[in-house]
Amino acid sequence: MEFDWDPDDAKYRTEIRQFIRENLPSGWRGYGKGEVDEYKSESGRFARAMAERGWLTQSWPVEYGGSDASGWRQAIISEELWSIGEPRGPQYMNVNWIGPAIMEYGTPEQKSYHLKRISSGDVFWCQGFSEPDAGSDLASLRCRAVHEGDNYVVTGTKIWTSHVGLADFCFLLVRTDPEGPKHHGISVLLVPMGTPGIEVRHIGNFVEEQALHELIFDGAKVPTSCRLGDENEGWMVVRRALAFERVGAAHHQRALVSLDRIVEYAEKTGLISDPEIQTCIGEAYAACEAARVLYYRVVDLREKGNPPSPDANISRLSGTGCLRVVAELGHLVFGAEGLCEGSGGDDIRRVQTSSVAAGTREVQLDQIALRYLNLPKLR
Amino acid sequence: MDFAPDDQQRQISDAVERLLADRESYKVAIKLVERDAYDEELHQELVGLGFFGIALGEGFGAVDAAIMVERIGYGGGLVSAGASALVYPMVVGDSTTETVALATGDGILPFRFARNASIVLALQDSDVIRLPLTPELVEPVANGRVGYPLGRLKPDALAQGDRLGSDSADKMRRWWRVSLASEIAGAARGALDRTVRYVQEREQFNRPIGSFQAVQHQLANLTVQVEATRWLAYRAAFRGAAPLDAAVAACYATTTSPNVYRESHQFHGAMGFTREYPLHVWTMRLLVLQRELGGCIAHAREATRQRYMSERPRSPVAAV
Repeated sequence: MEFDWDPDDAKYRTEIRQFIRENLPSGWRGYGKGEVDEYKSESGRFARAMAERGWLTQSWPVEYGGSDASGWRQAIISEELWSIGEPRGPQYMNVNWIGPAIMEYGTPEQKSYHLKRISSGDVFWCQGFSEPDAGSDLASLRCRAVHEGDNYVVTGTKIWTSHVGLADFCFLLVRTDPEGPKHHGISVLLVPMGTPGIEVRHIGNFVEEQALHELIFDGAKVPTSCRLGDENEGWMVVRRALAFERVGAAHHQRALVSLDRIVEYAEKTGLISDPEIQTCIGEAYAACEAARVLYYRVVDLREKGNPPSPDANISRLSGTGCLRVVAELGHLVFGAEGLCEGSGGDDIRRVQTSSVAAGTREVQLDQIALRYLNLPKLR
Repeated sequence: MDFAPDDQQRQISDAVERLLADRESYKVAIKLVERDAYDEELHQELVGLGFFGIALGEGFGAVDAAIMVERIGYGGGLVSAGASALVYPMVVGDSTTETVALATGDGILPFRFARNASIVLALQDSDVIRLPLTPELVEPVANGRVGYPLGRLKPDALAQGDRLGSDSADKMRRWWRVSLASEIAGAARGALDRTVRYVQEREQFNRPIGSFQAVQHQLANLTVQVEATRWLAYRAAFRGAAPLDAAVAACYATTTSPNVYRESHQFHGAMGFTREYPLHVWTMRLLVLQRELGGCIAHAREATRQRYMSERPRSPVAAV
């Protein structure tokens, strides 16, 4: 058993940090995501700069322009970038699982068209998954795609979609067969966002202004050549793409960045001398380190070729959990001043999203109970 | 980075687990703890297999010892594994096959194995006193005949001990933390596994109680905590009980294992309160381990001190 980074990876981290300092202003705290065009151009610039260094899709196979870099390198990228506010912007999704899904299930035309653009940092995607009546029960989705000649005609509504304002393509889940079991009638369409018949409605919210939208498809015609994988096999495509995402977001590092700021504030106000606050800080720090070791454990399992397992659910719960612990401490320490935008003290408003999106806390707990503890399903 | 145990570590883990399972050490523990007694036979078996020499043994190390300590905790063995096989050698610089007990201050606060050990290490503020223990130096403590046998030193007992010297206190504190985290990892895992098995078997309302989602979610939460406890303990051992890592491991173990205690007993109902049913072998030990060396508050504050309040420049978490 070894718990330290090997020297090559440690050196790589130093290079990434240097790159970050060269490409972002000191004290960078994230893009002003309210300004969609600025977000698109600034994050695109960073992603392209990474692509030029060969770092954007380095974990991809060599045949698709990557260098087969290890999951450990991806973990370093996630730790260094996610923790400071993800300067790659929404393109991190392309790299992590949209590209890999196209590699696995795409036609030669889809691969040659999309993968080059993704690996140059030149394209933005959004996800069309959830619907008003299909959230945790995603398989019950109803957005319909019907054959008409060489096209699908798409009708339905997607909700909670992020990054719609800047997206060039939508990774869309549709129902192509309404008869039969719900998991078996789903297909994936790679939809150009300029297609007529797609309406975007922004949903005002207090977590991140540009994060939530409705996507309304009203008879949009999407060529059948945009389908990824076989018709009615979309559920498998998505499950594999998400399950095989080798490395998730390094929430522990994000939480530790926040914790550092909380401590700085506590030092400024003198609250650091309060022994209760010292206890809370230590517990929060330990929670982040717990999330770290569980995250690394999953990377280790994947690197050794193990198939996806509930260890990923365990890791995710721990990661989103430590974000919460730190946000709640910030809530105590920052006080009223921290309610102001940009103070760094209002994470408590935003942290709730991580235990809701991409598989709620309850879904993670179910998976652990059923597949790790082998507890019986209640029928 | 490599989370997989190497062959040697797997052998140690399997051998210890098998030894305790074959002997049904947790059942032996139930009988012994009622008399404040110690599993001498298990102790001698472990000595015979060389396990008490692992921490300092050629080609072995602290991680191997931590694995052994965790597995002994998991198997419910009533032996002073952490103190004898991990803390003592790392503090003193020499292995022992004796039964060691660990105390703080003058040994007046109740501590584990006081009546069974032949050596006590007493942690003072800036020194460690080593004292050969005999029964007349120890007062028994009644603690419900569960968990661990406890005792306390009589006043001035330590006057007869040796002082180990200046850096021994720091070493003892750190390695005691690693040992605690490892013991808690084993005991918590034992309690959790026992509870999972129980809720799979126990039926009410025509179904296993483990099929109810509320039960499942609690146990899933505990699984996350128990897993992280174990890895943090091993990491701290790997890092030579570095002050921050040791404090973090002990803090996390002592902060989260109360949940294991509470929910294990909650899901067992009255059956879990009996002496005959073995749950107390793991859960009641958690209570003792959680209070040792100042408990979660002391470990948490030490983690904060090490990470945020020490003199050296703080290493940044991020690039900007």
